Amino acid sequence: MTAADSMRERASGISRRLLTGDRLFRTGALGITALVLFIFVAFPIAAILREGLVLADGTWGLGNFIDYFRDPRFLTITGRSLLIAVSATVITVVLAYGFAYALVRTQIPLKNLWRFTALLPVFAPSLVQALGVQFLLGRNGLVSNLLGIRLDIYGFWGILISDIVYAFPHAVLIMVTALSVTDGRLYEAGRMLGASEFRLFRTITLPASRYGVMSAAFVVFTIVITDFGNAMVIGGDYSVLATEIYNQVSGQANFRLGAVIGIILLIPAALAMFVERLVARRNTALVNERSSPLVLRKSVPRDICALVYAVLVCALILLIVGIVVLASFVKLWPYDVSLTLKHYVTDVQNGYAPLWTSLWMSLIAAVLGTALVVLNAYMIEKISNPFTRVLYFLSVLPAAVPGMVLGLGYIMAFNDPANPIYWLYGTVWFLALNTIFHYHAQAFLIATTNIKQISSTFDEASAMLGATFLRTMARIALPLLLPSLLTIGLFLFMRAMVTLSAVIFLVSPRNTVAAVSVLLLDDSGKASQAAAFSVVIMAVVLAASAGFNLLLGIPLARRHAGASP
Amino acid sequence: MDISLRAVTKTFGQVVAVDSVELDVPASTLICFLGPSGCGKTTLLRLIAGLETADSGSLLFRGKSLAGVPERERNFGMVFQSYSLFPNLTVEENVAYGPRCRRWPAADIDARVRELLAMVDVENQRSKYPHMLSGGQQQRVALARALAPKPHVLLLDEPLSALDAKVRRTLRSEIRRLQQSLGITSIMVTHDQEEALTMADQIVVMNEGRIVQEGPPAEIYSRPATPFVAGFVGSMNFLDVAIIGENRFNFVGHELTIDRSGIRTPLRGKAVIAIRPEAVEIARPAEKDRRRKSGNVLDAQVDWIEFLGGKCLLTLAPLSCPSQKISAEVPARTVHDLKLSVGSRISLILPPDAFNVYPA
Ligand SMILES: Nc1ncnc2c1ncn2[C@@H]1O[C@H](COP(=O)(O)OP(=O)(O)OP(=O)(O)O)[C@@H](O)[C@H]1O
Ligand SMILES: [Mg+2]
Repeated sequence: MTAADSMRERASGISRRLLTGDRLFRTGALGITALVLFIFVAFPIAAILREGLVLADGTWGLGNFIDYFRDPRFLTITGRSLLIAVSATVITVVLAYGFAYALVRTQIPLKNLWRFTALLPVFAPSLVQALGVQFLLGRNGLVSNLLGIRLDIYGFWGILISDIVYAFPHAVLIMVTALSVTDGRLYEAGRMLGASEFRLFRTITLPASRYGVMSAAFVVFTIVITDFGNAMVIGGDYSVLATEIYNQVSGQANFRLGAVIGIILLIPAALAMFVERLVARRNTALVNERSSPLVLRKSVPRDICALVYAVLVCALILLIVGIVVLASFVKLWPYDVSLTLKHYVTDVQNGYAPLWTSLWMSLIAAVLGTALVVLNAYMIEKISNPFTRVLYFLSVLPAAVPGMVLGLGYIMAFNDPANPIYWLYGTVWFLALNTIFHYHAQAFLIATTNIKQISSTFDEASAMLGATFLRTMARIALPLLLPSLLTIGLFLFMRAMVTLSAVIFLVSPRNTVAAVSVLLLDDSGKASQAAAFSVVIMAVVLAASAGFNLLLGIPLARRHAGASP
Repeated sequence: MDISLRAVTKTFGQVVAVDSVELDVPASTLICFLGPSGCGKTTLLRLIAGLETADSGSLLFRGKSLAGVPERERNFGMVFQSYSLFPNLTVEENVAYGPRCRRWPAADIDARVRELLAMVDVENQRSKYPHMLSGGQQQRVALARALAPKPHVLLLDEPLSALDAKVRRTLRSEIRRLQQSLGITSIMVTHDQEEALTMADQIVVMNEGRIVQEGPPAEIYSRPATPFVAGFVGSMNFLDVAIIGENRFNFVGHELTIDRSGIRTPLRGKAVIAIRPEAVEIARPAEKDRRRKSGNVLDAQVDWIEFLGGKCLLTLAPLSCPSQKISAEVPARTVHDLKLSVGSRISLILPPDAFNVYPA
């Protein structure tokens, strides 16, 4: 300790040892953040880029892509993917806009029920929608059976319908937010000027929600073009990009072609993420502290229309999800509808073991993932320099990386005995880590938003009082972040329970997950057992989310309850 | 000197928030930074706190440089405009936060918390959470929290601006009394001139990142160094005049003389003279001729009367130049006694010792 140091210590009353320890903590924590992001995000993506860009003779170039686009078969596949994605985007956005409008801007009864129903598809793996469509409109579907006509749903129409149902809740969530953020004074001013309700909609509501629409459109587009599960179940011979990667890699071990398609898939997703972020930045200043909330007016015709629409949409969703539940309980869908539990006795290899693996994996993802994500968000938010800006980019990058591509990147990066973390490969922990970073961007943005909402003056106040970085984090920031920690945990848990696209490449016969079992069951023609397995997954996810909500209620209630600590 | 600033400059991109500021803060005094919005008061305070780093210049605390000393090691207490009490900690825990960071023995912390809560008069709120307190109580707790670790300096950024007028007035005198009894060197930022005039030992008036004038409140008020200070602190009549001799001016055809120590004007050219509305006197017509000998009397017409309670604000238009309005603040009694109404003719007297003169 130098003389100047000891003088300072006496002046501030804070011990040197504490301050040195704090500096070590900061460096160490930032080091962990950097390490995990480089290992689990940068490295796999670099691996896939390398695989795609390195030619057979070892030089770098675009040769692999030129070969790809010379092959008419791949051109067709790319065209199909684009066609499905664009059609699904247009239809979903229009449907979701109306639904969100009914939820936010009308006075229909039972709004929570409609909202919950619309969100149901989120609780299921992205192949349950296709299962439902198959049970309804497929070869042995309800409609074919009742009407005696044979619909050909396998292919474009099947994928389109399932993907619309799959993406619908995501679009609704975004649009509900967009329509909720508004300034009631604009409507009052409009009415005072004599505008009709339709004119108000056209001149105020629609322009104010256009960023929401754009952002929903990009999200839906990405979800659909990268969706693997539904296309696998109902696509038949109609190959799209996502299924083509799987077939190339799993079926023919053609990693190079897999990487090329993966990079092609990266482009629209990266573009979508970029535009989405741009839009999000522009969307902020719509309201300020002087805005007044919108007071809804009574309008019976409007509410009747909205209610009819909401009921119709919910009925369709319930039909598709419900038919899966129903089919899982009957002997031979749709011919013999006597009730049975026999489909719940799964005769896939390992039985229900994958469900337990999934649960265990999801718990790890929730706990470890929340810790990592919040640490990353906190360090990157609080320490601002060019290096942390790189880390920020890596943190949000997974949003632009389709699950299939990330999974493939993980194989290329880690499935190598020379790799220092090869010992993790194939374990439940590895699957959990993959899932955490697959959904890192979304969880990270929730955390960052919440950290930003905690006024920076708390940090400043704490520092002025002499607190170390660690103390501020532990005593002030984390307690204030507690509710969002639980939200992030739940988000990661739910995603991990239903995830399919990234982990499909990483499961081993010993460690496989629930969603993969559903796919295998359906693939081997046991659709009813696939349905039963899906029902079990949905039940677990719903129960977990209910439990988490209960947990979430406790700390909030305690903080607002009163003085007695 | 407790705190000294030498040529301190801070820019944010193109904006020069603090422009080569020189300042000395003597021990145990309360200094107010006063200035319009965006003039750099907060930035200057945050530089002293260590929450911002200066681009150039140096900051000294008792003669030693503060360069490289982070905020947590300066041991300066700070009270924020928005209170910033930690919402997850009780009042007691908030106040104990600083001492805990310094690892004081538990008994000392306890005693200190008690002492401070008593000092700011919120003892009975000790186990409440901040959101259960009124704004005034929250600000008292914030004050106690800042003082708890026995800081060398207390920094306050518009501590009263979020409170209503009545609470503001009581807290104003409480903070001042506390500051004096503890003898703690304090710097307060405000854009409320009344607050600065009533609380400060020294006022530092700022504009566009620079210090325009510093001095005790009475001097700032009666001897504003520039028209900016004159207009910002209190209200002021500005008259455009031509110089016709030593301390003699022509104002719209009237001769005005100035008789004030320390004021010397050039012998010709133009100038602006300033006089506060409350210094302007109203003459009854009978008095007129007697006072006329002393000069500085103008005939005017009452243009508007604003009733302010005990006083009235008159807007007067000199007959020789009705567009050059002059405000006068007079007791309501005078208006009543003279039976003034809009359109009344009066004589207004500009006492020779009430002027300030600025170059045009
Ligand atoms: N973090 C920052 N980034 C960019 N510009 C800033 C920042 N902080 C302050 N400024 C700019 O510096 C100037 C001085 O700001 P400052 O907050 O010090 O003003 P102030 O005198 O405290 O005003 P007010 O009375 O409104 O609080 C302003 O032009 C402001 O826009
Ligand atoms: Mg300020």
